Amino acid sequence: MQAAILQMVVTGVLLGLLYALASVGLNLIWGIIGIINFSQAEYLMLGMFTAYWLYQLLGLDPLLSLPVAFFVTFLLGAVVQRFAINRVLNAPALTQVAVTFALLLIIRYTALMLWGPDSRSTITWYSEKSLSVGSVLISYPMLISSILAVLSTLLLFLFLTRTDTGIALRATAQDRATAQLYGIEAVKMYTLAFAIAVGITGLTGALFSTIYWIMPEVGAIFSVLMYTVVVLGGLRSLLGCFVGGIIVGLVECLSAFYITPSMKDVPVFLLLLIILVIKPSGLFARKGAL
Amino acid sequence: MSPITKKYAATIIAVVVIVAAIAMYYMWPKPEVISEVKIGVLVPLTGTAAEVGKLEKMGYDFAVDEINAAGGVKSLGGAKLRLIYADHGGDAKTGALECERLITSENVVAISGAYFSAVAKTSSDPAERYEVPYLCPDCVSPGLTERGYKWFFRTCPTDVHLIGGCFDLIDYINQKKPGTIKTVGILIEDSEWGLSCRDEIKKYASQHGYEVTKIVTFHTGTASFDVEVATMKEANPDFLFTGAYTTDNILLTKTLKRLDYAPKMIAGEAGTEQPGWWEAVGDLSHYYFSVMKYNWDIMKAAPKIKEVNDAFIAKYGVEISNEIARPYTSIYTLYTVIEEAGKVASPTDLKTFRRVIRDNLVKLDIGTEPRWMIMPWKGIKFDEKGQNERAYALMVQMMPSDGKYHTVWPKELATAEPMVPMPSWSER
Amino acid sequence: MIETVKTLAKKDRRIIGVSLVIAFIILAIPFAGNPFITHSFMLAFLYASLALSWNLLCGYCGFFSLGHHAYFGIGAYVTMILMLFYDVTPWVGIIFSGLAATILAAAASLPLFRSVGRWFTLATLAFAETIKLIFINWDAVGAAKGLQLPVKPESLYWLTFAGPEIYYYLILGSLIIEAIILHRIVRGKIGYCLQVIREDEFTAMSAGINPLKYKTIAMVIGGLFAGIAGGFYTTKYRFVDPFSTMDWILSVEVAVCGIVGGLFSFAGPILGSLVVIPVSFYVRSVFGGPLGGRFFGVHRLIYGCILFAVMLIMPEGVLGWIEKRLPISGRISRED
Repeated sequence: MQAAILQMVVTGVLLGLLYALASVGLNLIWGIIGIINFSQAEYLMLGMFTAYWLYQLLGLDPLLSLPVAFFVTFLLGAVVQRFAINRVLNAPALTQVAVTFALLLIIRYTALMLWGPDSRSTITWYSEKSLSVGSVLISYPMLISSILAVLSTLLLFLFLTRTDTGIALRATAQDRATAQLYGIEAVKMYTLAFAIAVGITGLTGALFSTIYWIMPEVGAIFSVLMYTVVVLGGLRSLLGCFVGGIIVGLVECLSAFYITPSMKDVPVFLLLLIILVIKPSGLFARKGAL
Repeated sequence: MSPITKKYAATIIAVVVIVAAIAMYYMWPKPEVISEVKIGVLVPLTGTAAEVGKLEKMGYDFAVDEINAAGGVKSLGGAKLRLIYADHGGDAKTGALECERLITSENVVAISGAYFSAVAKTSSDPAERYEVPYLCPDCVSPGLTERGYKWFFRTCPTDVHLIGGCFDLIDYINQKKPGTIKTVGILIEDSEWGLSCRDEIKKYASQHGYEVTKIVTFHTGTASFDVEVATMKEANPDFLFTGAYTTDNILLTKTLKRLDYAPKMIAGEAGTEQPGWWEAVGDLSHYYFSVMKYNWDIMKAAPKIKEVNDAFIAKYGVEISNEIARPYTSIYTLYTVIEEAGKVASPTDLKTFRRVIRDNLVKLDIGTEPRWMIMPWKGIKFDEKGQNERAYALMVQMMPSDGKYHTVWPKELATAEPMVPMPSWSER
Repeated sequence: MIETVKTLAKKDRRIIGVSLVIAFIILAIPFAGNPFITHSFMLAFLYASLALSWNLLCGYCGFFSLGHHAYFGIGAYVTMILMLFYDVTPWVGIIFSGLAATILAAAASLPLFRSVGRWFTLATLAFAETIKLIFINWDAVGAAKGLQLPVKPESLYWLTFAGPEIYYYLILGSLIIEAIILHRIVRGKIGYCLQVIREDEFTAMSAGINPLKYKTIAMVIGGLFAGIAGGFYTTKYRFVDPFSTMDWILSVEVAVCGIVGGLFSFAGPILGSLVVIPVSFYVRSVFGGPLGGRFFGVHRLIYGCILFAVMLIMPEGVLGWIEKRLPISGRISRED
């Protein structure tokens, strides 16, 4: 019994780290630009497919295709931001919702049209291996992905705090007007923020491709999870994202174990509601800080 | 008239005109043509089962192409069969709506569908009300033929056959080596199909004297099966039944390997029947048992199947599998009754034609002779509930020797002996 | 009568004339004999009543709820349970549906309104998903299998009919009644208070308005009509399961109807539903089947493109777009 619980905890944390990375993008867009991007999970799907096609056509290990996945989705994000999001920045918040939802449909179903509904997966030398630590089995792909997730976030954190561009981004988030006074172009910043956020999600997709199956409609599964993590952890806080992710992962795994797997999200939602009642803006929300 | 009012009026008039135009397009009576006989088909072309939908469409199209090439419906002067597809995407509401559209707008003579038992449930309701024959080739939930519907027919075996056959196999295994399998675990999806399946397993397990020690239900599309598998590993039943669709099954199988859990005997339904699954997991599928409605090695018993298979490969490049074979036989079944119906009625009188089709389905009595009967059934004859009483289910096992499914049950059709217990992951 | 008509301004006469034409078309649709169109518009009316009730909280009060469909789902289940297990006629069942939804809405208000803005949206989503998950695992109400009504002969008592025509008028009638009631509410004190709350909650409080009270009223009234709509859904489809009645995609669809129509006017959600729903079915029926086999999901793609284009051209919704060009009284004032 002890062993089983320990296994749950380990799995929960690892899974949570991956959820967290998946949600960082959403967090950034929400926090910096201020819109709820309904189509966020579709970039995850695109990242997965990028990794898959590189694996299929060039025999590239998905982990090596991380930078490619990032850049592909980054570019797409920049285009989307320029031609779509920008136009509705000043529209009512709900129009933005409708637009991002429309984008969801467009991205997802173009993918379905191009690549068909078959599910695919990448098989690597470590796909099915596990590391055994005591009585606990740690899945290799999950472990590697979690480590890379943490590394990627560290890189992002450094970018946002140590580079000029990063600081400019955060300034725009905090106070657009003042930032513009300092010569920072809001539009450029928004495009950059969107592209980075989307790129990270794409990168997460490439990581996920080692664990999960790949299909154009896979975004539907991760959407709600991503929003939950962001709200739990609080806006604009990277640390919050990770804590939120780990909490979600843990609660999911433990409740699947103690109650029943098909209800495993109920405690997550209940927890979310409780937290929102106590601290309405999420655990680590800070105004303007990143 | 001020320009503003002009614009206002113009806009309103434009909207009205557009609405009226769309309405008129639909309302315009469509000319009755008996150069073709239309059958409505409900398939999942989007959603989680889109892979299956794609395969089914191949099966449907192949059958229709063959029939039309051979002269169509001869009793109606060579009228061509035409399939009108509707995508329900796995959503019950859409299924019902699309079925109604097929019946009332497209004037189909019959309906075939829908793979998801839940969608079949809702979509057969309009068929029953409008008195249109609904032939289901691919749903296994037994409840569908327990509703007292008069217009719903099912050609394929149900979970009753599938699970029953599974436990007959287990009995056989225990006969050969007594005491091999005593306990049963169920790992199943929490959908309509999954829960019916679970109930059937519980019923048959107790009938055959086995104890169900653990039931774990999961929600489709879950991101990880670690907890589910770990829980099952703890309980360690001799026989594990897994009920998941293709995509979930891929993740599940991989998780079994990762967490190093290899039950003595493992069998699956739905997901394990799809090429998409065994191609994705490769040799992880070895030793898996599966319920199956059609398997390639049936060809050994009936050479005519090879003929059909070769023709199919020539056209589509893949072998016939489960999801292709069932729709194929369903269209031919409908074709057979339509040929008969065409002798006494015509689609121009839709209501009568549909009724005659239904009557013919009730009277239908087919054995294994027709070329198109490629399913391992004894034929097609519907009982008073609309279920094909000659339907049969197979049990197959993925053999490590060639990575293909071999039929292990029923004995008459078996081409191999079941291999139990399954060696642990490290031993392979 | 002619005298009265003559005294009306030209513009008003035109409006009345056009309205009569539209009303005639709407009433005449079922007579055209095409059940598919009737069914599509019946569904559009259903969505319209959902969008209208949803907009009370959204457009008027500024709270974007993605959990509205939970009330619809509860309503659908209650009517079904009463019909299936207790042989209660839906005419009574629908009333209980409304009641059940109202109770749920009242209970949900307290925790949900602790959060604001986007957090509120997510809280409503989490709330609705929880309800769905509970129903999936609740064996007494069919769990994931759902509940299906056995085939009954056509009757007014049980509200069972083969075709959509009767349901069309029923739901249309219900929509009209709902519109009249909501219009009264919105033009009255409640509507006024809601809008003040939307603009600035603190100002509202200093003016003596209790925000929580009015937000709850909006949620409860919205829930009531959503529950009733759910009851009607059950009579037509005769099958309920958690996936078709409680999935969050329903709320998104309702929201899209409202957004496309224009949230800041009363009739916006209705217009939006009448446009979005038939268009999506038209697209699906034309592209879904025949082309869908070659190119999977084309119909969803086209729907997405249309939605995208419409939103970029008319960010304020269709009604908002019309009204920007022509000042018509009745628009909720909103400075941009």
